[in-house]
Amino acid sequence: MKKYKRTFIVVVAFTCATLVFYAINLASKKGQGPLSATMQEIESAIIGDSTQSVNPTDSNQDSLSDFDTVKRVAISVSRNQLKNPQKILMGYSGSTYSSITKATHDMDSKLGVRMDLIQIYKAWGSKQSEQFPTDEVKEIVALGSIPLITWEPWLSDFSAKIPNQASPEMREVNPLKAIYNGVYDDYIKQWALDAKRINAPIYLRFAHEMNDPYRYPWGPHNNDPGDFNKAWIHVHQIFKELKVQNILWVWSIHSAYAGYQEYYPGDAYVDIVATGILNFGSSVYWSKWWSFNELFAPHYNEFSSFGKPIIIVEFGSLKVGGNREKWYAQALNSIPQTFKNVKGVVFFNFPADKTLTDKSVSWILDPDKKETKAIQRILKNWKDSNFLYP
Amino acid sequence: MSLFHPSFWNKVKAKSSSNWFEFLLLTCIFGGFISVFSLFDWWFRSLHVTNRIFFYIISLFLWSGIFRIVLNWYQLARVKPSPVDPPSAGIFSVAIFTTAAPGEPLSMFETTFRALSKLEYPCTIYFLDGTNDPAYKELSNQFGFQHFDFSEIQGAKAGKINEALKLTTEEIIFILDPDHIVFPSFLNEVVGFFTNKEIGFVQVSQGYYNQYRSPVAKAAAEQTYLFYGPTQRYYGSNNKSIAIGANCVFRRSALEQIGGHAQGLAEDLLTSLRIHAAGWKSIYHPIIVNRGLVPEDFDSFSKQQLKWARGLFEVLFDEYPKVFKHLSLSAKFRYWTIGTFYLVGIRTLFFLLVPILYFLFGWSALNMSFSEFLIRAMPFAVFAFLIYLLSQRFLVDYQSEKGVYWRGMLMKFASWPVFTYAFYLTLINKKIPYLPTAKRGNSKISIFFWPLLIYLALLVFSIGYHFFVLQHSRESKLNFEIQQQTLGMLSFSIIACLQHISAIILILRSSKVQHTDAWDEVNNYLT
Repeated sequence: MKKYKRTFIVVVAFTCATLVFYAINLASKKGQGPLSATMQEIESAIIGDSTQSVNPTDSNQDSLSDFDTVKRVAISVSRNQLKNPQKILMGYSGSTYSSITKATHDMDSKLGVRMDLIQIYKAWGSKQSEQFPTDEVKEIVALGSIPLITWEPWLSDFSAKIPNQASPEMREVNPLKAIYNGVYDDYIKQWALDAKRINAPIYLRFAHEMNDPYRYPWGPHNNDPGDFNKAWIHVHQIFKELKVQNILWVWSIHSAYAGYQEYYPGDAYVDIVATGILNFGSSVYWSKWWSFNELFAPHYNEFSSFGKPIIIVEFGSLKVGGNREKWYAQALNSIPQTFKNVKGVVFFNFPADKTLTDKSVSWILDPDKKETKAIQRILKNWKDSNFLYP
Repeated sequence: MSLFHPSFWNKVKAKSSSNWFEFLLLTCIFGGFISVFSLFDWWFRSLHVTNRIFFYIISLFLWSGIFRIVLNWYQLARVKPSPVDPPSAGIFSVAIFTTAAPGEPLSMFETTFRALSKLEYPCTIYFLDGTNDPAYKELSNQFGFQHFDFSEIQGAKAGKINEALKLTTEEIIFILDPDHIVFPSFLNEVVGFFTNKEIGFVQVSQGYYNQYRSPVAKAAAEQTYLFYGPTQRYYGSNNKSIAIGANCVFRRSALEQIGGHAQGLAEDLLTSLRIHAAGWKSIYHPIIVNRGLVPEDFDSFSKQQLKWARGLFEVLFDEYPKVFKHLSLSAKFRYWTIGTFYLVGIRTLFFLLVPILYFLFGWSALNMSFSEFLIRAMPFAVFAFLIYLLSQRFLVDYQSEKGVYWRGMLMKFASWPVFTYAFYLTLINKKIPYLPTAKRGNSKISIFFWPLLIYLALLVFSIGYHFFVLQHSRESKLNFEIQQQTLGMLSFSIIACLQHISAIILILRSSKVQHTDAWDEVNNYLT
């Protein structure tokens, strides 16, 4: 017994010391440390709540303390309104910041409007990071925005403990069949229940770009025709059975590959039609400079024929090969005039994108560059013309 | 180039610091405090937490380290700017005890004895001989010292001292380690302090003469400079200096009151703890009037460090709680900080594991970017460095000791296996024997060298593994989200890698044994 006495003392001392830090952290708020949070508590106790609502566009993007005190006006729309938006939802995905709050304030101030949609990418799997992202979604909701989750059914990360599963190498062979055969139902159910608990609308972009025959395991190169629709309906069914009513289903195709109609699961299962419109310019060998019109217009009528609102879910242009300012200006100007069914624009804002190229490219908009100022101008115009949600 | 600095053999005394210096130091300390508060406030934003438990543990390790730095600043602010001179030496009877253990080289004693025989203040020199070798006795007789054959006495150094206490009667006992070469004025500088009846012992600073013989020796010396400079001077400002085994001068009645010199690995610390608990005061006199040896190779160095770390932990777990209520508040604090000093090993190990856990298992506690942390910590780092440079003005021998002690810091870092092992031994309450630190270098590869290599290999493997998995598992856009953190972890790992590699080079360069003994050359200066 005496042998363990010292170990015991050390463990107790260690635990107590750790608890001290727990207590310190209790006093802090999300973007405020324990000292400033306590000071503010005291201050507001003495002189009442003095926090002022500051217009996000006034904030200096370099100063973190400004981010912390900025209060955004939350978007106020019901799930039903989001099913058929009357105005255009602005949004973004990706950032150089590690925190969503900072990234969002950064984008707000850079583009001069509130980011209504915040898109995050999540893979399937057994790891902690592959479960429903409760913390991130809560952070987005707390910011007053709407989460848009791109939910990627990668199967390689699932633990071997899941029954009736193919071996890891074989999982990418017809993964959609395994999904509609129910192999991953437990995972989907847990995810759905976690999503339900959020109690706020969430756009769910499941198995995006399913018509791309190269990219993802859920593409046509790995699956039989019709598998996608079965899998989509199967997943949809699980959410329905669990009465998860805060999900809006975003069916998102790759516009460059024809024949996407056959992947449409049906009106009853889809709320939004989405596509990415990214101009890689001449940054990569397989691409050239394409305007937004060249990329989007040939498909617009087909997209509209589904009778659902359209969201440009990955929107952006690289720098090399053309005039970036003109690209954005033309794109944004044509949306309310020509492409009236487009109800959402989500800026693709990744600093080091390597998904389709052999080198890393940056989609980030520099706040001091002409293209950013042009976007700001047009979006201000949208705001004044009442195209955006207040 | 000579290995030795001729000025080593001059008496050096700490200088008084100017008002201007005091102002500068206090300003920097003030700035330092503000920077710590701001870093603290930023660090604990709940935004930064991903895994709660892991976050609190990281915070504990980081902030306990920062707390020690801040405490050190406070101590610097309290150092008395000018050292006190001793009152003129009264008439005291003085005994000098110097001990020999089997294996300590005879030629070293020759040098030590020659220096002892030149002491100006009258004293009786007792040679506490544990070697059972007639050559040692003969040498002692040659110099006319009192020889005690203590080869049968148990209890290492302290056992011999206590035995000698019984056989002698002098009021003042000077305990001298045999590698220390005293200057003729040693006793004149010290004895006068004992005219104050409250003083239990007087500790002087300690210099070295072999630090130029290897990088490890330099590192070992560097590690002690700030202790003998600002730290002990702060303790001395409160008349509560710490006794260091090597060259402490005790009042016999103080030693007798606590039942003789304490025994154990950290017998010096234990002795001062007991003497202070018994109500005595002690003096720190920042003067170099003797020089000794530091270990020259990593094997001897790590054995010495293990002995000290194990000894200090023992005091913390065993003696400290016993005398706790007899200590003054500042003494309680001081012995606590000394006793927990070697926890730095656990702290280092923990931070070394953070990137490995991240790369292998994806564990992460922090939701903050490394670059932002660097920016936030920058003011703190700048002030800490400024204060570090300023604090060197408190060094005893500023001219020869000043500098950025990168070797010392590197070896403190590379001693994490030693300190961690010492902590483990303390937890299971396993004792290690007291052995004098080797006086001659050896080329043996220390067992504590291997963990450094193993860690380096593990770190490289885990980074490779991480990127292998990343490349092969998926091409998903998820990659974006972890990229920034990976970058931070990578920079952190590169620092750890470089530190390990530099330490390994330093150790290997020190493993070449010198062909001469350090004290051979000293004789030229002791004519």
